[in-house]
Amino acid sequence: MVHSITRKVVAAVGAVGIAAALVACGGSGSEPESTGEAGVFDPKAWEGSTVRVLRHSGYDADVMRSLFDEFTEWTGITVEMDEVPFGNLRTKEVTELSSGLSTYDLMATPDYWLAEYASADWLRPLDDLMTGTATADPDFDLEDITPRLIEANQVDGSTYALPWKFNTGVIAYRTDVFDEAPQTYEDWLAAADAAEAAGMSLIGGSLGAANAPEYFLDFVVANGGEFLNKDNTEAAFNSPEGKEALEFLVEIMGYSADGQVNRAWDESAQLMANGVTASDIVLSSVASTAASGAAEGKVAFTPLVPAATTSSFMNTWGLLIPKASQNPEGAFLLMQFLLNKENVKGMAEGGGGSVVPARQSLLDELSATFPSFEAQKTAAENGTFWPKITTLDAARTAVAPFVQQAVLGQLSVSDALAQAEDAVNAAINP
Amino acid sequence: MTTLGSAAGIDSTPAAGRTPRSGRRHRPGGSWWPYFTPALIVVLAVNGGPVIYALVLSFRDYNLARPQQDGWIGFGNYVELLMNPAVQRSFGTTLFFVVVSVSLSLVFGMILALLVNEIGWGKKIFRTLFFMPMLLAPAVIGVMWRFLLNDQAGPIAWLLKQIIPGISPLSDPTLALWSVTLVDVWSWTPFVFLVLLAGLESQPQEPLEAAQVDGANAWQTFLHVTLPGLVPLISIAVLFRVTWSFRAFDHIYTMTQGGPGNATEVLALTVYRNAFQNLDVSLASALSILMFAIMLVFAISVLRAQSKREKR
Repeated sequence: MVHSITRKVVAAVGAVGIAAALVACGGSGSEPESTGEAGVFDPKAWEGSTVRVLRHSGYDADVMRSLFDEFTEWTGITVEMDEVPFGNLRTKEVTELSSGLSTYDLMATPDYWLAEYASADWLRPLDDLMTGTATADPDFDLEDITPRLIEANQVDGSTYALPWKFNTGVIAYRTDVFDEAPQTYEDWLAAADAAEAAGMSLIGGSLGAANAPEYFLDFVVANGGEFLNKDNTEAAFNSPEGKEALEFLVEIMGYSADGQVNRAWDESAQLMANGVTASDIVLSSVASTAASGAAEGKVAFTPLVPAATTSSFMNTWGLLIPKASQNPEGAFLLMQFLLNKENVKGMAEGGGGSVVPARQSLLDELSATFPSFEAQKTAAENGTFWPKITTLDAARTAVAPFVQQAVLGQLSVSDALAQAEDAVNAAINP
Repeated sequence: MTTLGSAAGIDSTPAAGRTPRSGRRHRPGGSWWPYFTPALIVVLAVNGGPVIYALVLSFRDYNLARPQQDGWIGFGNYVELLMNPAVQRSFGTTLFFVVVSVSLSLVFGMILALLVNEIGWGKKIFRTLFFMPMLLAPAVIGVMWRFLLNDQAGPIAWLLKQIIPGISPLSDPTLALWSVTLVDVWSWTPFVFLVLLAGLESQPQEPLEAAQVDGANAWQTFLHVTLPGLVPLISIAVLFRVTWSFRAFDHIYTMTQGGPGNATEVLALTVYRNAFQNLDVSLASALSILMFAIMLVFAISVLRAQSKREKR
């Protein structure tokens, strides 16, 4: 009897497993679309085709989606868009791009992944599309996009994506706790008593595994240090500037709200919005969150301290066309449509300040509306782009455990820096 | 004893010119392979294909971001993995996770099964209630528990802080490992419970009654009558639980991403990092093959032991 039950249990579990495998193996194929003909620019040239888009969810995704009907009316091209959480975006993109299938014609990506993608020959360079008379929309004002931000999307002289927004870290601080914007490490720490008196922690801290590298390295570059050396062949943060930055990070985390080593950027911003913390580093994408809720009207922004030579790391978000796309011309048409001034303005306004536009004119125009933009603009002028190396993600990730261990007191600052340096060197020189 | 051959009126004694082969039965008038081959092809294609592909990749130096460096390196990836302290640490973490999770889910699953088996009413309700965690996707479980244990807003974290001030379930390295392990226990105890409850319900009553007549108390009855009867099902439960916990990924990734430090970095996370962060699919494949080999050896051992027990 027991043997019979055993067999039934095994059979049932096996059947569930096989069913799950079959479901996982299933999927929908995609058919190549018409690519149209070359010639004079005509938005209807690719009428009847489809452009499939992949991007991260949240912020301006809904606004972007709302623009598709207008685009279809203008061009006759149908748009389909899939959204995945940012945490899954790289996995999704790598899987799609490496398969060589033409599932998507347009993908949103931060510029720091472009070197890996381009090196693997997954991307279609945009240069010929940008200059082609049949593909370049004469009304698309490319010059208005900040040149630095376009350069960030170039690898070995080829442009692989065009940006519509950028991210950089700035300090958000409560004006009812800080007398004035902190300019130095000492200024920042000096507000600890005032924060405590107001019933708040001085800082939140986004030191979860995915965020710790950027959080720490922002302090390093703001203090005049570097992540990698000039040739991008070795770690360079185990320096006096890097040590000073990590010592300060460890010290200020002594005044942080519990749970900092398991927190993401948006969760830290939410703590400010809830009145739990008096200051933090916030990325552009969450700056408006930090200034909302209980903190509304009480938050100001300033570039990272001490900002000796530069401010913080920054990255753009751009749109790229996979090499396997069957409709690159249609995709480029959509790219220009989405990135024109009017539509980027719509996304910036719809994002409520979480979308900092890559267009200079919009940044100036909207600074009065969104209080964080002025600090973002200043930070961006001096911001550092991530090195264009194929091992960047591995190198960044390698830093995280050691920064966390230093903050938790499991490693001394010197040991944490030395071990992180070894790990990064191993990552960039596999 | 009636055999297939004798039942069909065929002499089943070894015929002249035919070599008797132990335990193998032949379908009368035909060969077995036309029936067997289609199933074999499907099984090999579905299961064997990806494993063979991963095996081939594991002997190469293939990084998606540097495809031009691709080449055969023999056991290079395996040597690198076995010598790598981070992988060794990850293996230790996985071992802790599996042993604790499987042991606790067995204990809790057994207790629940014994309790529910004893009650006369509401058995179906309890069975359905306990089954619910198994209906949730692991990633959803991770997000849910990340919130519940959040230092600032999590109700369970808040409750724990009332008992032990300063406790931080996901930010303290030791507690973080216990947290993700206990969530795994919470997720899979219902599976053990259901399997063992099915076993208890199907156990014959006579030995239990005989034990009572002989004056055995409840513990003695459980130890000498109930438990031995459940051993085959416990083996199956352990086999599946170890396999699932050994490759646990989703809820750990969503709860801690392997941190703080490397406290919750299990092998499946290491595979993920190599494949999707470092794009080193060869190294990731080698580690996957190692994990597969470990589980294969474990599964064969359990099934053999089970087979021997059944023969006895």
